[in-house]
Amino acid sequence: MTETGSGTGGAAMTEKRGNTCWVQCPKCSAWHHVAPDLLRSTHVKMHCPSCHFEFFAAEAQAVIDP
Amino acid sequence: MDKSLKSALPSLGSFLTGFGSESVVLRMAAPIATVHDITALQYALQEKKRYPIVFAEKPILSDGRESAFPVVCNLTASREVTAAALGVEDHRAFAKTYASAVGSPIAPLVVSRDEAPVQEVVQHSDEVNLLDLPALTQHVGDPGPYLTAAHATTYDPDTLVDNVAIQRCWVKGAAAMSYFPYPATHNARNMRKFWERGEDCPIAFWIGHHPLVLMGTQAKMGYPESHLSAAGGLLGQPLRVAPSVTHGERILVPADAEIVIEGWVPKDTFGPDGPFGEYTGYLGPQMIAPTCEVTCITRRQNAIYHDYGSGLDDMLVPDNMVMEGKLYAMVAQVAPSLVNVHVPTSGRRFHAYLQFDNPAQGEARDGLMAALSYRRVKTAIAVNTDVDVFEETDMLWALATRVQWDRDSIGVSGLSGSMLDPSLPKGARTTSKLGIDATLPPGEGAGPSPSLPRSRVPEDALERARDLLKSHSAEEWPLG
Repeated sequence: MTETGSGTGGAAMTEKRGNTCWVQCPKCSAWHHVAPDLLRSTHVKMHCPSCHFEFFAAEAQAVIDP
Repeated sequence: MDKSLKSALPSLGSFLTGFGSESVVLRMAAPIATVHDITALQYALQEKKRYPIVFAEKPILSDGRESAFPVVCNLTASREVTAAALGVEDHRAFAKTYASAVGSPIAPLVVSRDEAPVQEVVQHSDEVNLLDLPALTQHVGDPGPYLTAAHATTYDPDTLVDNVAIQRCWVKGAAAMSYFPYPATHNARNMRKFWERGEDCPIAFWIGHHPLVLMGTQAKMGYPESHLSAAGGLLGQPLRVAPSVTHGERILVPADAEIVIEGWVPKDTFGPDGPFGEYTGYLGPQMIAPTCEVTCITRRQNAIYHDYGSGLDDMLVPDNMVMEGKLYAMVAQVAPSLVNVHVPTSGRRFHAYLQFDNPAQGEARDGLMAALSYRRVKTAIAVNTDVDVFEETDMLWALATRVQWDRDSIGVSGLSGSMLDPSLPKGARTTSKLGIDATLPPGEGAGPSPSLPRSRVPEDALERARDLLKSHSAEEWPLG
């Protein structure tokens, strides 16, 4: 099959992929989405908008990092 | 100072008084919650395509208290009302007028503190309580109340020139909030300069003023250039400013604003900010942001709190109208047949419609390239004057009937863009853009246009038809 997308990247350029990182609060299990910088940070905690618990990425119940 | 003169000066209060009729201002006398309900009211109005200014007299705070301050929102949700603030009768003529006014800046007038209504009440450190302000929690997923109409004012430590920008703040405590200056902004640049000197960044946020001042201070300026002078250009008179209590003459604040929050952005101190409902209509992710320590709040005795509904026409309309003025000035330099510019709220801040009067070969494409160089513009479409750039069905008709995509579309990759664009691939730092030339071929000489004529009925027949319909009620007829 011939790629119809423009550019030189073929499938890599034309396939759509998710771009949003999610974390699950270790206290209340609610999910919220965070910027990649915050996900990688070791000095700024994330803040759960649901229960206001603050935690580092390593403490998250689960992480989605596409 | 003469109190009657004070009230005659341009301010949020004087503007509201001028639009006191019920057809423009919706006064909500009943209590209404600052958590979601005021914003929901804006959504409900937008569903009806109605845009009165909303004046909530009794906002209820998240802890159940009634706020001492009323909330105004939807202040600039209507293009008509916003244009009228500038004395422009037809909102479609705003771009040219704005470009001209901002191009003639007037330096601010410094008045003493006792001449500044915004300093009628001064609360120092221990008395400061941001939680008394009726800051709204707007959307599901916002972590708490946000200041959305806070005009962050800093200065360049090298030249002492001011910079003003609307930048959101999450109110986290009595004297603590996050502060999110987008990294590309001049305020962020000023902040980094102070930090590189090993100093905290002085800052003041002012809230509530006449729409001309709000839009003047949103003018896109070079660095460093004064937004206070741009506001004067739009006002047609010097903007009255007074020394801030914390920073003195280093940070001048509008004397006729409603509320000023003063403080410092501590060096290299960060915390989480967001998620937050952005102008794109999506909930932006939680990010790392600087913090702000508040030292002082000053206000009018009967201050009004102003909120912008983020992502609603309330915020998009004034911002897009300011963009129209800037784009008009940019595009007209390379394409003199430019007649008008519209940045529609349907495209958030990503689309620009350009209208040309019989552009010469290549001129519309020159104009498209100029428009695409504006960071936020992602798609620019050029049309002729027979297409109404304020009617999207007209724009789509032009796209359907005047464009051969391989001939008339210009795709450009690797340009600066909004990093809040939800379609950007993860990690991307540039964006791709599209210009579409939907103009007709230029006419040659005095003969008819070398394109198909548009179907139409005689104007006098149309007038007779309109008269006929006046005697019928259209309310019961089927919708399209």
